[in-house]
Amino acid sequence: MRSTKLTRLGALLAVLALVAAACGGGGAAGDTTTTAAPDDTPSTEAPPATDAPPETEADGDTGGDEPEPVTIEWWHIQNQGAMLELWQTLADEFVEMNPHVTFDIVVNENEAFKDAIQPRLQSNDPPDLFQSWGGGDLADQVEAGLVRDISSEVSGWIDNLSAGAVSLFEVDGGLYAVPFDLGMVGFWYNKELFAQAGIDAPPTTWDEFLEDVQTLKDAGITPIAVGGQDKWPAHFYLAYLILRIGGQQAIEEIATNRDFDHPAVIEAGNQLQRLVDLDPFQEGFLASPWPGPDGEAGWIGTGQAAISLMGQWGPGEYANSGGHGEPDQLPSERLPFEMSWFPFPEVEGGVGDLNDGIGGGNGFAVGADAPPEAIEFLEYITSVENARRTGETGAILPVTKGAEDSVTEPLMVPLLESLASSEFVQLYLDQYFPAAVGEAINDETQKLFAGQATIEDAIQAINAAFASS
Amino acid sequence: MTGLWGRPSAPQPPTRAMQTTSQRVEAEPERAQPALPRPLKGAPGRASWPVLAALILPALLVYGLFVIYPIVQSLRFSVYNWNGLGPLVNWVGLGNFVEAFNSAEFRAAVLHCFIIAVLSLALQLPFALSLAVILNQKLAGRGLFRTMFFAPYVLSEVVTGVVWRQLLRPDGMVDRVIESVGPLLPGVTEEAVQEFTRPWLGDPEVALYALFFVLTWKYFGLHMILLLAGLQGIPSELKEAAAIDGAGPWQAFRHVTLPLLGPTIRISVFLMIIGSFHVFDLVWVTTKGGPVGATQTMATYLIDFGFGRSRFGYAGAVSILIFAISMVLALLYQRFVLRRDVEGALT
Repeated sequence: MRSTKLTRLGALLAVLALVAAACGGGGAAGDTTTTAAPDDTPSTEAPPATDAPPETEADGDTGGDEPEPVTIEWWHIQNQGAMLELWQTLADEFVEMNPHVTFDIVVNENEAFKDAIQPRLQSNDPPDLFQSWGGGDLADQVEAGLVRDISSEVSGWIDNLSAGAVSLFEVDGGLYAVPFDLGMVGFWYNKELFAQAGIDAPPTTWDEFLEDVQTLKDAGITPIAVGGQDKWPAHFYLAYLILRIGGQQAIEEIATNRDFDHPAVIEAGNQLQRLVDLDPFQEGFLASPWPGPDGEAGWIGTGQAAISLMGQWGPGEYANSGGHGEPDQLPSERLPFEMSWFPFPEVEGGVGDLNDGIGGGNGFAVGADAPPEAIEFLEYITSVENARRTGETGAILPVTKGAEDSVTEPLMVPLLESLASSEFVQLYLDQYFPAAVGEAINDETQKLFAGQATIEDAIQAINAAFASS
Repeated sequence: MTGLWGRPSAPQPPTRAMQTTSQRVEAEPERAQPALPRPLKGAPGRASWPVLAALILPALLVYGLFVIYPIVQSLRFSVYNWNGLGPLVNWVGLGNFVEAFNSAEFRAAVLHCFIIAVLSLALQLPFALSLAVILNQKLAGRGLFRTMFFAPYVLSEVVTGVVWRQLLRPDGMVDRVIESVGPLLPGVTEEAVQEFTRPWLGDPEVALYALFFVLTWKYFGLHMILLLAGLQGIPSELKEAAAIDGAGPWQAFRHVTLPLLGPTIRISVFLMIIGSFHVFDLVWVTTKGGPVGATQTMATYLIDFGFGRSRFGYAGAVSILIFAISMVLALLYQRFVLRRDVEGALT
């Protein structure tokens, strides 16, 4: 009968589709251990150490003055390569030294983390340690009493860390997170494509930069890749132009007056327009995210575009998205072409300094009810020896004093030099302001890139977000 | 929140009216008069109150907890400016609703949903109907075709989104096919083809239509199967009688098949409209509502401007508005279109 045949075929196809879907999911998660929801977490509980198995059940038998067993729930976003492994190793080592501690580690991809953490914060149940960028989000969490002022608990060792990095996580005089990484956004570029277009030195002024973009374009090379769909990669351009034109003072004035209508912003919009008018971005950049084969990182990683304005995590992701090498190698070893870095150029007539940067750090915020062991663990991972281990992965720029030179990745050298001589690092604008304002800045930048808004429209929309937040 | 309670109106009417026409014809005389509760009372075996309570309470509890309670909570949040953390203190009255009405992005999101609904009715429905009619004929390999056309519906929207995102990317397979096939067509030049290909999901002017294409690819199979089932419920005697009376194929289709397919078509239309208002997964995976909001739907707007910006009060207001829009349309449709079916009309 036709109908049974139809049913059978349908069932077969359904099974095939399920298998395909399952494989797709498996492939994506295979090398990342990413989990989006805390509920179905494959909680990577630290395996027992080799010589002294610290099973929590065993603790009960030994009795005596063994400390109470505690579990540290730790959410981080280093979901790729060497850092993923290193965090696990450090947790294992910590458990070895403190057998009463168990870890519940939840790893999320950057964007997924932002969604996954929300319900936990709203239900007033923050993880003990979780990724933080400081800024407006952290201030909101402080106001809601979700994170703990740890300044007295860490006073014995916090001075070992760079004061600039620590200051990103201070809110009203209290300290709520411990930084482990601080970097700066700048231009990563493909030296071979530059040579091919006949450009021998990176530009130092905005006009030179625009000329080089045109030169690249004339040579048939896509000058710039930008993750226009994710929006924040585009916002770096606007943020840097504001900083170079108006300097630190302009951003402080914007923040104090809660008013984006500032001469530096208007001039930044005009300068950005000059870039957009050159049509320098990859085809379909508005549908390109940051990572992935069709993302900004993919265009750079496959050598299809020459320049990308991105932070210190750029090279690792170029190699990932380009499909080169193994995750435990340094990015420069993985990439099949030579790359380098130059700071965002100075704008003629601007007051900002060439070495001041838009940047930010990664830190771990401490949940309001985190056990003291969580703080001890932060001390452990930011100790000089361990910070050096993070630096050696080439994915992290450690903030512990004495660990700076552990970064052996040659690509990071120019970035670190610039960072060392900078007197001011401004946190990414979309993190610095409250979430609604940050997102409005990102939205409006995307419109500027798409040629669908003027800087005056953008200022109006961003100010509306200030009013509503 | 909306995911849970934005839908409740949808499933009910379909199950009711999806009884085949013939069943309903038989059922008709028996349930002529009585109001709904009556048959329960008079039913043989007579369910006692404890039994009724035991049967209904669990469902009622789940419904209350996951449908009614979230709606009430959303209503409460919607009058505050609230970032999701801490107590509700910043009362703004109807401010959030006013802001949504004044937001060009929200109005655009509503418009996009209507565009998808209208396009679905104008293109997807006739397409599914013609396929159903063709596959209702005796045709070699028709079982295979039916399965093939239905297969996309079986895929999850996320898988569909990931696949089509790769197919539609610049220089992706869609562009390649157009580039290689285009010039073979008479009167089509290489330049015209180059002009035509574009970043389908990255061009604000075409992204919504590219997405509609993918939605059609995914859902025409469902409607084809529904209509096919409807077609098979039409007694062949009627068509034979029409043929004896001298009706041509078109006349038989227009005056016999189409009217008798009415109830099924009305259900398809209903599903398409409701579906258009709830488009989310596919958009989120492919464009996230971009580029520059060109594919923002009501649901992606809610996530982006509410949750994405930690504005949960505003999200509450927007979700109430989405609920209201969907509810009003569903009720109107039931009142004026589906009523015929509920009352047992044949056509």
